[in-house]
Amino acid sequence: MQRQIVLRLGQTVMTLLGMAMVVFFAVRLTGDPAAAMMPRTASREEVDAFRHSLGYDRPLSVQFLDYMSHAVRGDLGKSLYFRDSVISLILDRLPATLELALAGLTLAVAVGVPLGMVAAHKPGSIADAAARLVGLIGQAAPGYWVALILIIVFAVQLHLLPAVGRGGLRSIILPAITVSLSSLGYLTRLTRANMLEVLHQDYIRTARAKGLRERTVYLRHALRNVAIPLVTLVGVQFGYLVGGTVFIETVFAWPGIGRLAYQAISVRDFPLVQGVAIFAGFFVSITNLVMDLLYAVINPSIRQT
Amino acid sequence: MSKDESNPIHPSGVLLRPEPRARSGRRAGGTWKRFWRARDAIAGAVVALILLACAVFSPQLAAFDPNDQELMRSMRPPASYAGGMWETPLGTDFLGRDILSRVIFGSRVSLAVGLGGVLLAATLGSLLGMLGAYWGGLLDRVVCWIVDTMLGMPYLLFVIVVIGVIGPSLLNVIIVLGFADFPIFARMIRGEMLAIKEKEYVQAAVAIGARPFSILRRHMLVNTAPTLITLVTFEMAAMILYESGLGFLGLSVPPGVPSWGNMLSEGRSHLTTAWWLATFPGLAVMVTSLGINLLGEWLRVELDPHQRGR
Repeated sequence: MQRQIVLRLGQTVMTLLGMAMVVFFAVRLTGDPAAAMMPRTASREEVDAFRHSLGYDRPLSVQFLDYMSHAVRGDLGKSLYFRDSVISLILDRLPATLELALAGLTLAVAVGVPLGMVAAHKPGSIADAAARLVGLIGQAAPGYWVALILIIVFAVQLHLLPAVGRGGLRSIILPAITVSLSSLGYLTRLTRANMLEVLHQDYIRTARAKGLRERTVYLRHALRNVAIPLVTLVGVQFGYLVGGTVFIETVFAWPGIGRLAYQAISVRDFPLVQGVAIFAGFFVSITNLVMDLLYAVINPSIRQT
Repeated sequence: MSKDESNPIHPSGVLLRPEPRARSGRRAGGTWKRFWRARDAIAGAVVALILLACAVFSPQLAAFDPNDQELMRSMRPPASYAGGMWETPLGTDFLGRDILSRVIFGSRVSLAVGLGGVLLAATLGSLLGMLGAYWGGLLDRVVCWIVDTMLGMPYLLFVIVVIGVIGPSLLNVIIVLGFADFPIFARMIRGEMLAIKEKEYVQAAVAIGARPFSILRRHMLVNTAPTLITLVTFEMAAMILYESGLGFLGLSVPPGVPSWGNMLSEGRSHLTTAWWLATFPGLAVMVTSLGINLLGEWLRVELDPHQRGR
């Protein structure tokens, strides 16, 4: 068990290093980010001076080592556009993103798990068809489009909810619904699939044979065993939601990390782009690590080894 | 605490595990007969065919040139609404361009990105997964490290960053979407290959002295085909979604080109006055993705001998 944890930690460190490298070199793919950041009218001397001021005229390996030595101390550089440190810009926007991801996931769990369970109870029923539909729509509907439709219906036509911005409980409803969609699809499908599998197990038959009520069988015996993969899924989704809600945050003008990434790209603020991408990657990796460790804690069959 | 358990799901939308089928009872008949019984698959196939037809025959199917500006008829609502006309059934945009014609032409970009991106991802991913699984050792470790790293990154954020840096264009979008997606193919094929490598017929081929390349091609690659085909379908649907998302942010094909993402982006600035601008291209994206996904679901069950009988 301890050996496994150490191995997993080592693996995470390797992944983090790999991510930092991928992002660092991706930002330098054009060869000269300084020229890409300056207006086209800038003279050669101006570009050279700018490149020198950023340290982009040093060898790539030196730049990378320098960046990493700062990064491990929590310093991801300085934003050119906002004229502030990258990490403080990210931390400013982190609460909004976390809030949205949590609200979306809560909604997805609250709807998806019961729906999946009801669907598995009677395969082929109307509830099963509804669960299938939710699963398919979650997989196929583009989030940014759903966002637009929700804005058209609830903000423009019915004037019920605010269209954009963050302020109060009412403003999070539409973004949270949009964010929850894809996770809702996964959760419903996974709950249904695992329930179907578990319901055929011997211990369920034993529980029924003992004369337990159907509700007890479902909630106490079946759901507990389904919960383990679900917890993992929720964790993985949480990590991705933090790094992957660029579209939805942009549509709703939600002041989170995704929108910050988009703003940074629009104004070609490469130090900020790089910082946000590395932060998001790290966040996902650490979430996955925590979920793996948690998985070992809650899953008795792994805990033993 | 194996790796595959920790991350059973890729953000792009593939459940990497077959779902048990609800219906039981053996379904008789050949593949074609079963196909006709599978209504979902037919619906999916119809959508895929319509997409293909729209992309290939856009000039014949569309009533107007997609870039034909006619300010006299700008901002016309769909035909069934007051002020709408059947000449332009889905209405027109602020420059008087016909929405239906633009949606039809937009299928070209989506299909190109879907096919091109998946082709790149599948080729690169299968190659690396295959080599890693077959030769093992350092090569395998490096492949695994790259795959873990890439799968750990938020896919969309990575794609947006790279396109933001190298600049948006059709070719760049295809390359970046395809490249960023190869790890999922690599992981899947590597897993399959490791299992197949232990099979007796591969051992037998090794024993009689077949060359590695011939074993890989004739015995191993062939047997990963079902997985590969299924994954290709799902990932193609996902890429069509991503492309329109990139277009929506202005990070795909240039603004003048009719694409579903560009139309969504233009429609967003007229949400309060003209709902139809954003609604129809988004609907096209969703129906396309839904159709290809349905086809993929059917393939997953149909190509898996263990599931077929159920």
